[in-house]
Amino acid sequence: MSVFAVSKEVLMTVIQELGKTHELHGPRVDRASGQVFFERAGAAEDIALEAELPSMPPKELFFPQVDRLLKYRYDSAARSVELTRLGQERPKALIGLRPCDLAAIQCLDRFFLGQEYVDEVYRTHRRKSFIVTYTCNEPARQCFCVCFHTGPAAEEGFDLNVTRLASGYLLEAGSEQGRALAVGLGLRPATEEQRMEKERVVERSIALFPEKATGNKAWASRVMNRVTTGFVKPEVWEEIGKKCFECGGCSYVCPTCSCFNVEDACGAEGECERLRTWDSCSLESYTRMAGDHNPRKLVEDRRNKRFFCKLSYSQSKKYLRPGCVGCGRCVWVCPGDIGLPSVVEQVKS
Amino acid sequence: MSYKAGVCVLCGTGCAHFLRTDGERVTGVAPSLGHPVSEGKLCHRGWRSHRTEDRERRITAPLLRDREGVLRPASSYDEAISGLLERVAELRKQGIVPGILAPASLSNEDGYLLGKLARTVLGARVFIEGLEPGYLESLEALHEILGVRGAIGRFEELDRCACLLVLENELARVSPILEGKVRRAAKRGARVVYVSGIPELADELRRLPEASSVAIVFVAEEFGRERETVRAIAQLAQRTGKMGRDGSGLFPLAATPGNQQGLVDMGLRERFAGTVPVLALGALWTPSMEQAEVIFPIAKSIEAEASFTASDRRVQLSPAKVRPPAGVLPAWRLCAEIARKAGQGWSFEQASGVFDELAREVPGYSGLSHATLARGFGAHWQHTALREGQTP
Repeated sequence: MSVFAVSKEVLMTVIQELGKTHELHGPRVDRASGQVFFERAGAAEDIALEAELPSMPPKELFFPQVDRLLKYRYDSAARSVELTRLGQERPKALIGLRPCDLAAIQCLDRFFLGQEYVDEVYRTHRRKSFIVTYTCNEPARQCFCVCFHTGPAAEEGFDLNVTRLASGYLLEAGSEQGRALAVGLGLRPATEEQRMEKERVVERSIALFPEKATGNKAWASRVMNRVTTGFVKPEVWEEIGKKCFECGGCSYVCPTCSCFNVEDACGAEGECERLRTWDSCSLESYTRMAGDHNPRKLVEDRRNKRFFCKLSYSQSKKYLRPGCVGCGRCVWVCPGDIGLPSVVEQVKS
Repeated sequence: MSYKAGVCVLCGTGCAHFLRTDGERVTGVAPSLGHPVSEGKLCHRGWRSHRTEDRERRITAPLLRDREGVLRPASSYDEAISGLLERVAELRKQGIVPGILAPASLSNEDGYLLGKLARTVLGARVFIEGLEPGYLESLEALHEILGVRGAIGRFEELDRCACLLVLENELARVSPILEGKVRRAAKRGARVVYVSGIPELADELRRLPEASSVAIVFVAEEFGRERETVRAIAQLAQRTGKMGRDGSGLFPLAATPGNQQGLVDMGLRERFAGTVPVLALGALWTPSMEQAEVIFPIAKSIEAEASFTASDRRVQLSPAKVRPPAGVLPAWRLCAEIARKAGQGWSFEQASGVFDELAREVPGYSGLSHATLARGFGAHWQHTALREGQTP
């Protein structure tokens, strides 16, 4: 891997260079509330690289909450349909993506692009995107990425990875296009000492995680084993189900969740839009069929399904990693306090 | 930023959220992590608050009933306003009090100016479609016993109280956010009691005064119809001797969408009961509008800067996220236009100016302004007794 050492100014130059060919997106802080969103940035300086984990997952860029797939108008007299398809987009550069969110995008890539049917809509959004990850120098309170091996530093899947050192930044090229950009700008290779410093940054970051995340390596994997083998008592799922308010929030903020619905929204003039919208397997309507039959009528069955999706080995086999990346956003948004760490604890106990 | 801060008005909890826009339309929603009541959470309705577009029912131009009795698009706002003033004058000549139909989604500014227009310019009565009868009844009962048409305390008291009384477990359906607070209270060791009627309330009367703090929550939709029950709740709250203290409070919760508390505060307490209105306002078409003489489109709550009041009296400012359709005005501005056309010298240019006047006129709102509401997450209007630190 090609590794470079850059100053803040040079790092800005790298981002500006990317801005010539890509739409820039990165963490931005809402001034009034301090809340962070992964947003379109007008310029490199707008990106708050060191801001906390964005409150909404960057999956929105490739899999939006409401995606307008096409427009149509049906002329009943002429029996014809006028269709307008989704246009091509400018490629996106994701700057300052956290390692957990990168792992999640890899899951989504495997779901939307890596199976028998390739999702053209996702591919349009994802086309030629450039990913610059940012090593987490310290975890936030809700983080548990170390339990799912997604952080605090990205290991693969990025074009460039940035790590803040005591003085300047370490820039690692993870792809040929990342290396070409760095070499093209004439960046200075990092010294051995600077590479070692990154290792120390990562070790220090891991040491800052709570004991449950670092002290017991089997914290999550033992539960994954129990979930996979069905070794969880129904009463446990019932108890978890009782706490669920069925808001769907855990799925919406989960960077790997890919449930969606397709619906048509029509105006008074007869013009319709076909929308793809976020959905959640936790909701009763998700598995409801014609005739009102629902194989997952009970809330505990739906909770069970979602956590199976996050923790079972069959998911790992399909997407080459667990469905949870340890970002902890579900902990923030759950009104019933059954974010994934709480479920792991309940299953263990 | 494509995410803009705002307030959810789908029930009375008063959660804050961010709505994502692409400049023209709302395309997403996110919870507000720092809000003291919702604390980064949203309920199933809140998570869909970006999906309220409803293009099929949207009204974008004024409609005027012609002499043949057919509703047709007016050629201009001027024509529609003139038509309205003529019809109002005709009705009043016949000794009929004209009615105005408006939705419960109106902001405080909209509600205040509509009330003023009806009282001082048109001599009309305002009926709010969607104003929850149960909530209205509950507030009247509270007013009767405690002298407050609203909650005592803030929803944050639920995070601190030692004893929580919840009337029927409807709370989980109506406000998962508040029910979540109740469950967390139980987890931290607070005594949580769910009761279903007056006999159980009487039982609690013996125990509650012993608790260091007491919070009582009820969903007004369920209990409002029974004024006796709400009176009993209010009397129970009064006898605990803890109302107005830290960790204590009495909370009626509006279950249906709209600015229920705010419109009651603005004096709009008449609900629609089938009276034929001369004027109907709304962003979306409803069958009740069909008999009106004049229909005006108004901006939605996400299309204009305005304030809304939650069931715990928290007044919050919600900035505009997207522009209304061409020519469509916020209700307060439309009211000002009608008043101007009727020869009144109203000179409101901004929603903040309307709020400044309502803060002078509406009891409890004194001292609030858009500038104060913009700091943090709004402010609670004060009841005199609470302001003086007394138990009402």
